[in-house]
Amino acid sequence: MTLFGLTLSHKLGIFRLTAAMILAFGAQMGAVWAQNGPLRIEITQGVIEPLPIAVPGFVAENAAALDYAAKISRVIAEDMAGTGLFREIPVSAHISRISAFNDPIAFADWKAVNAQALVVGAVFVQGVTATVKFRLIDVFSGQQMGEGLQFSGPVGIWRRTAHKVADAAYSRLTGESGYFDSRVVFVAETGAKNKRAKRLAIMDYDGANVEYLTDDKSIVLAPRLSSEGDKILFTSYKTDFPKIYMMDLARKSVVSLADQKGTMAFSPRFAPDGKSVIYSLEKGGNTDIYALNLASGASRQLTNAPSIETAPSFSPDGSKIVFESDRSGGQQIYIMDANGQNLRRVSSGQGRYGTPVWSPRGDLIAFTKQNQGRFHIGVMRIDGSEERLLTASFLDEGPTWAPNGRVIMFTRETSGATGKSSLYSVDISGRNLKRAKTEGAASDPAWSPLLP
Amino acid sequence: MNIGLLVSGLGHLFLLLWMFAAGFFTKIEKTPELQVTQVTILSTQEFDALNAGQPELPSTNTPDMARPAAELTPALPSAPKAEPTPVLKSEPSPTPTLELAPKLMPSPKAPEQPLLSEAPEQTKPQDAPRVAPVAAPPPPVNAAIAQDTALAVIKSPDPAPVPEVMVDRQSMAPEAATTQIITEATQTQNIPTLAPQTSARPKTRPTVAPKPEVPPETITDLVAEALAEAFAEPIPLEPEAAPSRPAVGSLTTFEMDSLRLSVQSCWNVGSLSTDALNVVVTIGLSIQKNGMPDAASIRIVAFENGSEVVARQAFEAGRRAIIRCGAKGFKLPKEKYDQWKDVEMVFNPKEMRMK
Repeated sequence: MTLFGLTLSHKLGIFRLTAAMILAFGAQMGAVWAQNGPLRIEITQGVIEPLPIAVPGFVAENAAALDYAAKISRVIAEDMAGTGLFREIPVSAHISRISAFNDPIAFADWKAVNAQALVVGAVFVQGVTATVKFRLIDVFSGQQMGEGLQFSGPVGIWRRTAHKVADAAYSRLTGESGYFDSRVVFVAETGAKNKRAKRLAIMDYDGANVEYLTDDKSIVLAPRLSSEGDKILFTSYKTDFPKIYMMDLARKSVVSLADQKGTMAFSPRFAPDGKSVIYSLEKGGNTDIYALNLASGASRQLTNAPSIETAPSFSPDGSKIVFESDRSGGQQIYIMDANGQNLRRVSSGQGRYGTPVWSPRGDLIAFTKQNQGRFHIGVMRIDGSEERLLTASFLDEGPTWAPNGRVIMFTRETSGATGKSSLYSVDISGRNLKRAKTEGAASDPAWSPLLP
Repeated sequence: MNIGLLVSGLGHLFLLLWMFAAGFFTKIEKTPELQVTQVTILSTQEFDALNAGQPELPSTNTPDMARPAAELTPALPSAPKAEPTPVLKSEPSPTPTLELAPKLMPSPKAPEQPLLSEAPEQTKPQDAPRVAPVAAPPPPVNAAIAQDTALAVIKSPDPAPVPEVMVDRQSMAPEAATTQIITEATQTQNIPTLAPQTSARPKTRPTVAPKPEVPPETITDLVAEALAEAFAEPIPLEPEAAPSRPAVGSLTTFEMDSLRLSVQSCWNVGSLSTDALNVVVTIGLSIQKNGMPDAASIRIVAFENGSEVVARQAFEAGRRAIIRCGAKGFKLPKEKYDQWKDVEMVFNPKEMRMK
C-alpha cells in the first residue's frame, strides 16, 4: 500500500529517523549542559590581507646620522610593503612621533591608525661606520616582539644595512627568513627586437645599485649564481658555438668551462656545494645532461636518450636533479638522482612544462607552462601534485626563487614587434604580482642567496 | 421471464459491448502534429567550433617554449663573432664588509602594557572621530596632543580622555582583504584571448538522472544505526558535574557562532609564513564580564603541525584577532557568564592555506 509514493516501511523508517534525530539533539544539548571545562570554539575562516605596519622615521642619534636615518627607514618600509604581506601606514597618518629610541610607545595612537606592528629604530654614524638598531612592537598586545637588534656597517652600503634590518623584522613577523639583502643577476637588453644587444648585469633585489658585468658585443644568456653568490655561470655566443663561461664576481674574471669543441653547451647550473656544474650538451643533434667536476675538469653523462634533455636544476641537498625532457612527445618535467638513476616523470597536466627550478626549501618546483597559447609560471610539489599556476600572459618564462622560497622572479615578454622583456616577481600564493625595477628591458633573472 | 425484458437486456448489453469495443469510452489520443521548423545544417567542424565558444588561436602567435634552446639552434653564422673575453676589472674589488652579525641590544625596559580597558573607544579606527574626510599633515598642535595622550595612556592607570584626532581612514582600510587567493592565472583562465566570432548555441536541457530508489531495507538500516548511536551513551537526565549551571545558562549554538564569527573577522593570516599556516594553535583566554578579553590571560594551550617558532607566529595572529575584535567586548549573554568566562579558541587555518 502506498501513499504519496511511500511504502509503509518507508514511513516507518522516516519515523525512526526523526526519533533518532530528536534523541541525538537531546544528547548534544545534554553534552553542552554538562560542559565542565572552558568553552571551546574552532575558527577555520579568517581573512587574507596585508598586515598594517608603521615605520616611523628612525631617530638620528647624532648630526652625522641625519642624512641616513630617514633614508634607512624608507628602505625598510619599502622592503616590508613590497612583499605584499604588509601594508605601510603612511607617515602622514601617524599621530605620534618617535623622538627617542627608548621612548615609551603611545599604543593608543598607533591603535587609532590601526597599526598592528611598529618598527622603531635609531641610527648612529661614527666615522665611516653606521650603526642601526631597531625594535619591533606588537601594538595590540602592547608587547615587544623579540629582542632589539643592532647592525653596524660602512656608511657607503647603508642600503644593505637597511635590508638586513628589514630581513630581521620580516623574519620575526612571518616566521620565515627574509630575502631583502640579496642580489639578482640578469640579462640587460637594448635595441630592437630583431637586433637586440644583451649584457650581463647585477642589481640589488629591489633594482638599486645596477652594475654591468659584460659588454654587449656578444649575446649572453641564462646567468646562474653559485650557492655562495660569488660566481656566475652563463652561456655566451662569443665564439661560433654557444659555450658556458664562469665569472668570478669579485675579480670579474671569466673562464671557459672545459673543452666543448664542436658542440653546443648551455643551460648550466651550479651544484649546491659549488664543486660541480650540470648543463646540457648537444652532440650530433642530440642533447643530454652532463655533470662537470670543476676541480678535475672531468665530465659525466647523466642522461642518454634520443630526446632533448635540458634545464637541469639540483635539489637543495644536491641528491636529485629536476629537468625537462620531450621524451614523451612534449616537454615534461622529470626528476632523477644526481647520478642519473631512478628517473621518473613529475608533471602530468595538459600543455608543455619547462625550465623547472627546485625551491630553496626543497618542497616545491617552479616551472614554465605553455598551454592553449598562453604561458604560465607555476609551482607544484616534487611529486607533481598540487600544481598551481601563478601567472598567465603572452610569454612568461624562466622562474628563479628568492632565497627564502617565498617569491619567484621571472621574465615576461610582451607581444608584437615592439614587445620587450621585463622582470616580474610574484608571491607563491599568486598574490603581489609586480614588475621589478630595471633601467631598461631585462630577462633571465637569477636570484642570489642571502648575502653574508 | 418476460421475453421483452430479456431482448431489451440483451440488446443493451450488446450495445454496451459494441461501444466498448468501438472505443466509445476511451479517450482518443490524437496524433500530435509535427511541427516543422527550418534548421541550419552544420558540419562537424562548425559544430565543434561553436561548442568551443571561441576560435582557436592562431598558432603563429605561439612562441616556442624552449626559447633558450631555440635561440641556440639557429644557424651559427648569425652569432656574433668571437670577441675577447670581457674582463671589466682585473683587480679584485673586495666587497665591503658589513658587520651584520646582529647584535642583541640591551633590551629597553618593556613598556607598560595598557589594559584594554584603557582604550575604550579608540582601539578601532572606525570609531575615531573624524572631522575631515581627507587627512591633512598633522600640525604641530596635534602632534603635541598625541604625545600628551601617549604619556597619559602609559602612566595613568585610568582611562585617559581620547583627544580628537584626524585619522587618514583611507590609509587604514585594508587594501586587499580577501578570504581566498585568486591568481592571475585563475583570473584570466576563462577570458578568451580573442572575441568569439559566433555565439554558442544554447545548451540542451541536462537530462535528469532517475533517482535511484532507496530500498526500504537501507533506510531501516540507517535508522537502526542512528538509533544505536543515539543510545550508545546513556543520556544523563541532569548535569552531573555542573550543578551550579542551570539549564538556561548553556550557550546556544547561535551565541557560540556569534563569538566565533566576531573573532574570525579579525583573524588575518595574510602575513603568516606557509609553515605557520600549517599550525593549528589552541589559545586559551579569560573574558571579563563586560565581554572584553583579558589580554594578560591570552596564552598558547596547545599547538600541532609545526615547530615552536612558527607556532608563535600563529599564536600572535590569533592573539591580535582576539584583542582587536574584542576591544569593544564580545556580545555574549551576561546571565551565562559562567559559560564563557574561560574560552579556548582553536585557530585552524586548514581552509586558508595555499592550494
